[in-house]
Amino acid sequence: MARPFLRPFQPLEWAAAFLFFWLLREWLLPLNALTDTGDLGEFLVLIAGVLLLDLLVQWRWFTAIIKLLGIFTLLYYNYFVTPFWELAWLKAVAARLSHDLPFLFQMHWTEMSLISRNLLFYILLAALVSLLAFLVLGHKQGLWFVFLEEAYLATLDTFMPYDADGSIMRTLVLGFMLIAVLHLQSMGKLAASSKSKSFRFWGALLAPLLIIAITVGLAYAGPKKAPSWPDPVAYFTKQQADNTVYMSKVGYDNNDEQLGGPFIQDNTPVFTAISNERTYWRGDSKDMYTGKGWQKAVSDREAILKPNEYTWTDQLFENMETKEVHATLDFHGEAKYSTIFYPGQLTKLDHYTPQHATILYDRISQSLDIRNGTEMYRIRSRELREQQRQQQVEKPSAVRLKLNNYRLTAEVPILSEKNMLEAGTDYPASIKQHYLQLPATLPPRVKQLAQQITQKAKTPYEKVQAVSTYLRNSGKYRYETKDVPIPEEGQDFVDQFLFESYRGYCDHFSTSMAVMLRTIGIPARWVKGFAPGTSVQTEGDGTEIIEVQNRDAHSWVEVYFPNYGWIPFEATATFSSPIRINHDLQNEQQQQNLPVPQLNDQDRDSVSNGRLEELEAMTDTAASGQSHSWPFIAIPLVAAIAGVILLWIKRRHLLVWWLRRQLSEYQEEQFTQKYQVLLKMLERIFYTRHEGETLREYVNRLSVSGEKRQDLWYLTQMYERVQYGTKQMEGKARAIANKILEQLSQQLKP
Amino acid sequence: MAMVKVDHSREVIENLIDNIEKVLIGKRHVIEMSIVALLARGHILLEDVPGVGKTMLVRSLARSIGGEFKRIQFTPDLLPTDVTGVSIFNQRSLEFEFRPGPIFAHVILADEINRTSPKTQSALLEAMEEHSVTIDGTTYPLNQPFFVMATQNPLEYEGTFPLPEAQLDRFLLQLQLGYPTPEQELTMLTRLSGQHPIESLEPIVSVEELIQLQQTAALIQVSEGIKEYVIRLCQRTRQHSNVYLGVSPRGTFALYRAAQALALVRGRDYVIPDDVKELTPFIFKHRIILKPEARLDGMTTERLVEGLLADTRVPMN
Repeated sequence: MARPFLRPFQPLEWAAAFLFFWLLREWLLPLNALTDTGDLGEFLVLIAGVLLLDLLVQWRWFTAIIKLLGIFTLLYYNYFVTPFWELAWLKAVAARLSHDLPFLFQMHWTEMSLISRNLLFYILLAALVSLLAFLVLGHKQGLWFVFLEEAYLATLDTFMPYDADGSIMRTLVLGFMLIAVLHLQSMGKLAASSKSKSFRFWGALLAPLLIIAITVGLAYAGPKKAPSWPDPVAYFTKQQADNTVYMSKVGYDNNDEQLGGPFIQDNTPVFTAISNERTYWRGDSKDMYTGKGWQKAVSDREAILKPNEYTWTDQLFENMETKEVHATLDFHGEAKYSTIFYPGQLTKLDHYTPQHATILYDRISQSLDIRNGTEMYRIRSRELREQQRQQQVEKPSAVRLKLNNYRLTAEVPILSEKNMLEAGTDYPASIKQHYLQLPATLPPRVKQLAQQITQKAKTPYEKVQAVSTYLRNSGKYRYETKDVPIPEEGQDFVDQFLFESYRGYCDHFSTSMAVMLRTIGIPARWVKGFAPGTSVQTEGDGTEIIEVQNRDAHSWVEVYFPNYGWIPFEATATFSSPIRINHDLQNEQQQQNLPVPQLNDQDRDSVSNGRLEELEAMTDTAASGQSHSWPFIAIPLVAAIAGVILLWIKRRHLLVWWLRRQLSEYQEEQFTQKYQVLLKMLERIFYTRHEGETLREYVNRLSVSGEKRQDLWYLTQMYERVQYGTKQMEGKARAIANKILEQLSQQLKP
Repeated sequence: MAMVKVDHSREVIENLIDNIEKVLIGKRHVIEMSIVALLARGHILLEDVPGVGKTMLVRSLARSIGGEFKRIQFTPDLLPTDVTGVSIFNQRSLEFEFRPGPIFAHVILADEINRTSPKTQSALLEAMEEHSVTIDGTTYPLNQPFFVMATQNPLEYEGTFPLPEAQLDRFLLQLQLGYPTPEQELTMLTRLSGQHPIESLEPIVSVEELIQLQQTAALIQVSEGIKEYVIRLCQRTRQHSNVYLGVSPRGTFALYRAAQALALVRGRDYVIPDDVKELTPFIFKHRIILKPEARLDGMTTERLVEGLLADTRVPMN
């Protein structure tokens, strides 16, 4: 039998779909934070479109065609400029697909073009949304979906640098609303005969809203106990280390939004370098201090499509004497980064694999982000489009790539103290704008301390040296990796280190130095990368084989000097300066090349440094080193699963209990309604009544015996008298019937 | 007030059934259905093999209501006047005088109705519908109550004139007696060994009382939901894809009246869906004609009606 083309309009169904859409949005939001996905708009449009189609049209094959058309239109809008109707773009898509499909089956997904990947993702998303809509909205079963979504968000929150607190709350509210609406829909079908329909309807809608509002409100406002068992990520990490104190591992990573907390040493090798100079490996720099950590506020990215043909000039140190460094880096093991690490300043990069790598170079932070080849982009800007209508731009891919090895040529500066002292304070406006930034919440005593330290110093260089010396050599601050507290809510990271804890590692020292310099008007920024590493072997021509491990991850400070650019400085006790200094001030004749900091193996443990990987996850209990065992996780988990299973097994009991409660809500006179509830109870306990089955036939079929059967017969005959015979029940008869009904409802059990 | 009347009626009907059961053993349901037809002022078509007690049923019924009983054996040479009666010229009074036929009785057994010519068949069936007979321009009303039990023999097809659909529609119920069980047959043998019990059967109700019962049956309460249920059932036979001819509006009314009568037989002054469901097979069976292709597929009217009843929503009010 043919179904009508359009689905009849049902407000509740639309309401459910609306809520469902927002739930699906919560699903996609993490993509924004965790991957390179820029704009979620198109995906949301896709989801909304699919839901809308499924709501409006019943013919499935028809919606499938429209969905596919929509997907292709979306693809066209994103990648093509030729007129839509010429269909040349379709050929291009087909060509891309046929080129990329083999990669799909070879599982070389990153080799696939953006168009193919997008197309496949669109189709997958549309199919998934249709399926979910069918399962959740069609079958009116929302609980499992909300539960899974919460689990998904909780997992992301725990194992990924994603803050899902808001999402979890929103999902909870939206999810409960969805369940309420779905339930109302199915109830509406059951209670089609109910007379006071509209009253029930609004009541049924308002009640869950109120309950959700109260519950969430209470949960939000109420005092919360600290987590009673440790963060699982840190817990699992512990399993690998011998140390009973579980902590995060040290390593290089891109997120510095929150600093502090303890970590453990990790000897995983990162790369082996063959170089004629042992010096710091610079990775990235950040300009904005938030009070908790560092972020990038500005960036100016340049696309380098063929890095081996590109030459960098004077990005860091201008007009300075430099030494040329040749180095080959070979990354082995799992730890590879999509960042180029280089000594001093980079001039040339070649001999790298994979060879299709492209680079996004940030001219402001001087960081090099490695990307997976190129992609064609359609120019979105209006002016550009008018000028070059037909043009698409080739840009580095949005997908990050990790290089296995590369050779580079770089320059390390030889600092002339004399020049530095004469550099003056004539900072360019853009430098002053970005690199003197401080959060408003920074306590004034930081500035007071900086002024106090530098009161004798006249020039910026002297001030920088004074601050560095104060942090490194005053003896007040201890290098410590394990017993390091995390700043409390609202507490400034630098302030805590300088005035309260007096202990920390490179992040504490370098951040404090940069911030203190900024308070006294010296532009400074925070740099991270790797410390020089350990020399494994020295060749005759002065080249060394150097091994760099995760524990060598390090951070330091760069200070801006007019005419000379960004000069690196070391802030951490037990580390030596990252650059060669020509002490030409004291002795102009003495042109000695200071040896690169020799880090002997003895104090490697205390010297090596690193950064925290997972910070927000750490708790105070964790920091104090309390150890936890499996049962803390297992018992509640098992209890929860057992609870769910029990509820499932006892679901009929629960339903009957609920119906029994409903019975008591009716008045004496409402015998027929009460009988209908009794009927529902019987259907839950025994079997459902067929549509064409009369009450007598149904009661006969039930396996009830003895008195209960007689009572049931009596009640059924009463009901027939009232309903079919349209007779009023006399007071006495009603009282008896009600009493019997009550008794029976108590006796009936699944 | 109504309750008292129903209680009394029920008592009378129970006695009537018990009385007939003395003769016809183990056929309570058929007896009940016959009384339903009697109370609903309808007629019954019995389709069964010979010798299962068709005549006994009718005779005992006639005796129990104290009415006159006549039997018409339909043969191919039976004339309409043999049924209705004939006007004869009285030479003494020089006037035409009407000699009433066997139809002028209270209970009539029309045996093997499909063996006579359509002309004679229609004479009986018209009388059944109109409750009167017109001969030579004069209309003679039939007795009240007037109850016809017609039988047709399903095995003998040779030399028969099958009743047309329009005629079948005039029977309220189509029943089957069926063979008795071995135990029932044993009881029968014991009972029949002496004097035949039908000879000692006493009338239970008078003709007047029966007419009153018929009037009570017509007053039985039928709720709107049940009326809709009756209509829905009949409508669905007309829309069914396997049906060539569905139940006529006369059939709808028949189901309605029969349900009222059955409610009275069961001692209720209101109809419940069970009454309708119980009667539907007997009322629909001879009123539905299946499409030939459906019949070839093995569909029967019984199965069709069963399916209809199973998936037609039972009213809850």
